[in-house]
Amino acid sequence: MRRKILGMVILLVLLASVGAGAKPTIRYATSWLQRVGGSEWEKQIYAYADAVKDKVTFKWEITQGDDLRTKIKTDLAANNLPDVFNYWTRGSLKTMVDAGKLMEVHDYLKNSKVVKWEDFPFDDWAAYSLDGGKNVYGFPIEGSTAFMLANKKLFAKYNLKYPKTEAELLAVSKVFNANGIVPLAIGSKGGNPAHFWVGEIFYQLAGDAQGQGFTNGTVKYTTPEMLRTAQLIEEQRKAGVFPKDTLANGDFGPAVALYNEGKAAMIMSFPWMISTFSKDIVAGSDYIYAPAMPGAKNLPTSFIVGGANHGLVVNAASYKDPAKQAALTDFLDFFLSDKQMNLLASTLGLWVDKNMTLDEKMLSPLYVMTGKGVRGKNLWINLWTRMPDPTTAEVFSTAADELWAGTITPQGYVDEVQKSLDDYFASNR
Amino acid sequence: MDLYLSTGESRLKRRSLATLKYAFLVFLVILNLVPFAWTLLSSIKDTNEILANSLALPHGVVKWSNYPMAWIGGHLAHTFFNSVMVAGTAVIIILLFSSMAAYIVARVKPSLLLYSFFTMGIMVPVHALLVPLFVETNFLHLTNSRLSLIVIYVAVNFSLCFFILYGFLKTIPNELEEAATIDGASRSRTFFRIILPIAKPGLATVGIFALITCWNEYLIPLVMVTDYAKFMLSQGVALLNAQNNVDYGLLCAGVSISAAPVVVLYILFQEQVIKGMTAGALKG
Amino acid sequence: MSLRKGAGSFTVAFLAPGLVIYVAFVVLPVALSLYYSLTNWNGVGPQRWVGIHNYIKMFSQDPKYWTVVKNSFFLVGLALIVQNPMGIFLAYLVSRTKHGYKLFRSIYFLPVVISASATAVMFSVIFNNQVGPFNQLGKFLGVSFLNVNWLSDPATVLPVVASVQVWQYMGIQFVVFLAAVQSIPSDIIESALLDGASSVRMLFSIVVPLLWEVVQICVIWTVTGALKAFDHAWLMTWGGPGIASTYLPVYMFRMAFKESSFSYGTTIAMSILVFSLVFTVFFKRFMSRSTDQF
Repeated sequence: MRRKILGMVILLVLLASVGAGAKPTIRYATSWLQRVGGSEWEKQIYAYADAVKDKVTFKWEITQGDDLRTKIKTDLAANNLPDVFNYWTRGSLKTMVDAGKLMEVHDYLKNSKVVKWEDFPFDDWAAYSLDGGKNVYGFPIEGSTAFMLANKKLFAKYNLKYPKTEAELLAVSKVFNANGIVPLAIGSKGGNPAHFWVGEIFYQLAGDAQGQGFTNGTVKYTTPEMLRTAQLIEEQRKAGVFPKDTLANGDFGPAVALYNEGKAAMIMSFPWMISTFSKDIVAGSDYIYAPAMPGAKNLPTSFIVGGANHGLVVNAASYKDPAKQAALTDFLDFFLSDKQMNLLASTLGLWVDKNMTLDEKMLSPLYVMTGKGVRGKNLWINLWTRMPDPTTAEVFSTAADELWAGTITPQGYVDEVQKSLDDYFASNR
Repeated sequence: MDLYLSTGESRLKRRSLATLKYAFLVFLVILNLVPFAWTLLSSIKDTNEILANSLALPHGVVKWSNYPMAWIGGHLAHTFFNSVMVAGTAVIIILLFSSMAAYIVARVKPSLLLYSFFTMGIMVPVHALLVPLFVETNFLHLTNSRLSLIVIYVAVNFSLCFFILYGFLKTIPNELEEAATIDGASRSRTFFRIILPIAKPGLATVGIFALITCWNEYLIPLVMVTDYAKFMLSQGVALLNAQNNVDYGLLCAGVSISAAPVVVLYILFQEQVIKGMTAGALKG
Repeated sequence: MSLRKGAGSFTVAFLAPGLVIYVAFVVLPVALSLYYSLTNWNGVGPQRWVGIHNYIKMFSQDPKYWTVVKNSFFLVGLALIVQNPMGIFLAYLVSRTKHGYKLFRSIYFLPVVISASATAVMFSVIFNNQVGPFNQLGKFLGVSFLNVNWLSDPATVLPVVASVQVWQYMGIQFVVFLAAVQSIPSDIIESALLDGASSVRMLFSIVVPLLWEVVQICVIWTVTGALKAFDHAWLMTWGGPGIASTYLPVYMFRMAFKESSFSYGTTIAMSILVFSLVFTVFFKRFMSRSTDQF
């Protein structure tokens, strides 16, 4: 028995080492594959892998949604980072960048015959940089541009107008609640999508510069504008603006589910959800801007909360590996090509950050509607992305859950996030 | 079952107690079945209807298409196969290894040290082991493999299975082994040919506990296996509940599909299942 | 005695497979976890030794930890108070039931075979106040107390999540006790009947004491299982809102895998181990004084 086990172990080790000498294997970890319903973008990825299968073996590691973050963190801890993977921006990257795990994009750009530095807007490159754009560690692909929709029929049914101020928001909420309709489908689970609303209100009261201050510690989270934001949110919660079962209806999917079925009058949603809105509901909706909060310094019609949120990063060690470099360069050339970006936008509905004109014929009506609404507005980065590191981002998210569920006071909310920020800056100066 | 009825109780009291008893039992049946019934009902509805019309039968279209969509979208075919393969293999290995070890400690070389050492594992929360396990499987070049899952499942269930089998094996009379030795049987022969067959009920109990545990595992495969071709059933179902999901009917269909085979197997084999747990519990 | 001759190589051969896997994949990781808990490690880079700093932080500087402990104890309590007594009681009832005996037995065990993740997903939809049936049921019956945000209201989320777990695993206690009840030698029952014992008295003075061994095993299993509970809480609410439905393993997972504080996460895991150990030791000691030998 023992000899058999020993034999198996030796065999396994041999097999593993033999495998390493042959053609390279590229591990790509993502949440964009194997979506329910599939997509043309996905088909093209598989077609590409098939076309190059004599030179490279691709391994797909698929996890949906935020579980991808968990997977990458585990991989990181076990020193088993994939070769190329999707990941978030700014603070999320801190641990990996500090440890030198990610490839700096210029290493690839100088090898690429297809993609140039100018292909992406500087602000988006900056999203993948921790030093203002000098060193960039990823390709900004997906934007988190928020948009708001209002259900035409519901508003008409109760003879209401789209709210332009907070007072109007509270007033229409009263009517909707009395009739069993959720006024604004924003719940909170793991901070989603609630934190975008926090950002929307905060930026009205304070502005983008303060948001930047959170990242480098020059502005405290307990700043009066944030406290006021939390108070306004509590006021809205008490007035029934949000779904009452905030956790169960939190996160992106359930909110759209409510809106699609006409159970919610308004919604704030995001590009990655565009493909889940039903055609009928889109045809029956109007694009609206958020209502203006009392004391707003910046009009809601002047800015959009969003910013490059997600994209592609490459394992530095993998790129340095001569066996893998050519394969990775080729894969990136394909992945970042205009054709694939078009498919990403049209079939996955993602908000593409690359400097290119998307083929409008291929885009969904909602995508086009959102594009029009965003044109010419300031794009201010959502607050989650502004958190300096993964730990503070998590605390920020769970604190939103508590604020939405009413288990924490506005002061408690800002204090909790501030404490996490304090801890971070104390150990990172 | 009239054995339990004492002659002293009056007929009326018996009748009313009996009614009460049945009412209570039926209430619990409802409690146990209603969640499944509701899920099945919702699985053939449009999300719209679930939201509007939660309790009744579908008014409009019966959305049978939820099932094929869930089947494909949740990758339920190959995840089910993976789960069966991994859980099945793991259970066989667990039964073998834990019974062998329990036999030694129970009958051949009793040792309090070994007993305590082996049963300590019952208290260990598997989630605490996730990162070290990940590091180890990486080291052995077993990342992202079903083999790593099998090995881990064996390890984390070892303690409980050892514990149950130990109790079981201890009750077998010594005469059996002595008789076998007199007949000239080798030790392993004795074990495999004589002891194990007698221990069948205990093995059945342990096997069922282990099977259910391995089948239900969610977190370990979530962290260990990310190659979607190797996903377990629990991960397949979770794919349907992804953050971007907006279709509750689809979700209910997926849950129904993933539960159905187990339920069918259970209905077919319930006699054996319960007999096994029955016998195991007595000796354990 | 003949049993001891030649025990050497046989013993080793039979112990080896289990021992190797157990040590490699349980004992060694526990040791590694212990090591991580004594360092300051965020998942990447070197691990810096900090001694018992994490433990001090956990026990005295983290109020959330104690709330989570309280939540875990709530689950343990609920399981002990509902699962075990209900299991015994149901087993006793069903053992005395002629009609539908098999049906009851099958149905009560059914929830156990469904995977925890499927169950959790199912109940997260059922308890969703907007989507699930409770709200509509309440309207139908004309009562308002069913209109509760089960999973968002901090007052209800913990009981609800805990109940789902208890609901799912009650069948195991039931079947185990059923078997045990049916194994009680019939002559004991007969003599009790001849003495004129009522069925209720029978349950408490005869059945329960004879099942004591089984009860002990079930209690240990229930408690250690409850202390390790993860799936339901995680899949229904992520432990939220905040930490309202967070058990110790959920808290550990959030710390280690969401906040990248692997050291702190393993510290929490170690505390789970300690709680289980302390309970098991005390329980065994307490019980050893009252075993019934007949």
